[in-house]
Amino acid sequence: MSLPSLGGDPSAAALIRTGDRLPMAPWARYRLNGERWAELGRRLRADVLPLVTLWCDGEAVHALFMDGPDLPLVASVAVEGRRYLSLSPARPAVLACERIVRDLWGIEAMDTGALLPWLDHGLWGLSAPLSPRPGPAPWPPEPPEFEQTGDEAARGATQLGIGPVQALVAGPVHLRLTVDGDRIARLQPLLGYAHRGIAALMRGRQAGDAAALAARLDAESGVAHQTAFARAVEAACGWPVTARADTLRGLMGELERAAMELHQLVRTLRAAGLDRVAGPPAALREGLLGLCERAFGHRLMMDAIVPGGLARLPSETGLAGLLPELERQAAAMPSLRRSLERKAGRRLAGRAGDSLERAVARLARTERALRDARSWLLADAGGAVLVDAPAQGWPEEAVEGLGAAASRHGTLWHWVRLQAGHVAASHVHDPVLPLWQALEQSAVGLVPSELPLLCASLGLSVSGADQ
Amino acid sequence: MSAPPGSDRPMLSLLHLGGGDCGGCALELEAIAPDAWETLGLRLVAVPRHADLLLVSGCVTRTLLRSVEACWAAMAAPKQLVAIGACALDGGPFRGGYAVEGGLDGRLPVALAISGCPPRPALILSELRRLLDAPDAEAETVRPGSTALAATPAAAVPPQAGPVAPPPALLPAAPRRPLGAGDSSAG
Repeated sequence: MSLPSLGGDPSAAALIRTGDRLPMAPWARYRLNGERWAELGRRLRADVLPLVTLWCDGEAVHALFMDGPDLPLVASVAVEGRRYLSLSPARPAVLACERIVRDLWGIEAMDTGALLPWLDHGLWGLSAPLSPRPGPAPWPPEPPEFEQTGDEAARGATQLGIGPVQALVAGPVHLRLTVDGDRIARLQPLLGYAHRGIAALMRGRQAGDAAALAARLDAESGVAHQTAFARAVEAACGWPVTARADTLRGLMGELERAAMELHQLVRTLRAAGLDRVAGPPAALREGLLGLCERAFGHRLMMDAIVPGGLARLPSETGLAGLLPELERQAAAMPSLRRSLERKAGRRLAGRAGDSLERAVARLARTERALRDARSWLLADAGGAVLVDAPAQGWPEEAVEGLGAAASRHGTLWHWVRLQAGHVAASHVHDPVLPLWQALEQSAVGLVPSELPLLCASLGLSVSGADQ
Repeated sequence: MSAPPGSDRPMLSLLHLGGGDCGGCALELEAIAPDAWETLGLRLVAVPRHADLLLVSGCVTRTLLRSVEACWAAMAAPKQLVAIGACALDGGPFRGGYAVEGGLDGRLPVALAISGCPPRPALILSELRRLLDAPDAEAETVRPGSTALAATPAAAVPPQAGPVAPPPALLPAAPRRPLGAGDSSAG
């Protein structure tokens, strides 16, 4: 079926752009009526337009697409009768988002499979916490459900529960394994134990104060979260940032990525029982964190970035110490790679997928991040790092902004709606969330004893997924 | 039991429980090299039954509360509880949220609270050394100077089995369900 008024272009992106253009900054948002949203769902079955994330603000559901590498495109549809039409039949990756919308808002996606809870275990004391009128807690709380097919049961496959207190991943998560013979036939993660309700905690806070929560969404990509949040606020308010603040955010982002890639490598090597081989990359990471502390005042660079720029000037002596160390570390990468292949190759190659390949790719990304950090550092021309927020003034009317930053797992997005400088609604997309779905697929066919290595080598994080 | 190098103290086992937080404290714990743990006379374990020390980072979320209590209850005495970072003690920046019960303070007997957001690895090591070097009788009440904590009476420790008295809640008390088959933390 096609709608007669849509013109000739059959693409999903063209359909979105026929909607009402709403003033989100720096990219517009398009409101579709129910009929066009339904048509969007149909077109997505044949169209490759990538769907990044889906969220709700109580009145509308929003979907962020990428219409090109640097061109986000947001489509919205009004929620009617606490329901909206699901997009997950065409884009299974947003099923987690639809489950989260149901848990937080009590708003259901129609025309998809059963929406099992994702975050809500029935223990919050209420349901639909973000809704203007939260519901009662279920009584008794429903135990988590895990799928098992009749076929698995007939073959005598057993289910095995690990966690939420476990040593596979830093942070609480429950993994339900279906083991058939000596192999994993199915892995179902149960998240939500680390859910802190950050969207609710941010709501009503002045945007400058909310930055401290953005910094604590996930320490493994704290700089990326701070940057994306600040960019969303700055876009919404139409604030400029100084060239120096932008350059130093780029520098901090690359330092964080280099340090985290090294840390993931250390985790992988330790999970494979190679503590000694993990020593040199661990020492390099410690060196980077020390440099971050001397330049920016905090090893993990928390509370360094605020809407309007940076919280404070970096230490000039700290910055001066960075250049030789970045060059020394980048130069050390080839020998680190050779030593990794020699000492750890046999233990990692072909295990848990291919852990050696992932470890070598991590070293390549570390080297690139170190070189990019050096380029940012050389581009730093000095000057002010903060355009004072009160001097710029908060817009009185409701404004919306979208901000992005590169994290270790890909691009991370923050969306905010501000009212007189206070957060009215927000959404965070951390690309670690789809990684949990990747774990479900990568674990199939492995022996359970390879699971620690797989978890370490994928670089899973609970904090960014649970929020 | 083997002794740590240069000490007559037996090796102790340590379990890290990550709660609801940004993961910063866990990163700083992982930054401690394996031989530094060994020098301190500690080894990391994955199961509460094997642990002498429980290190908790992150706030106690309502969803995790039962697992934290079950984990502590599953540890054999003598045992000690260490709170790492602001979240573990009182919920830190996440205090007051619908999903957050709070911290360990007033809920379980915290022997040592290491403050910081997150604390540096060197501070974690030095504070743990202070705890381990304290005479046994004083160990439960060891407090760092910066965090004035009221000593939690031993009676606050939940019994090994049976229902746990609900702690003061920020919202109407969440209902409790029977222990699920998946909670391996219950031992």
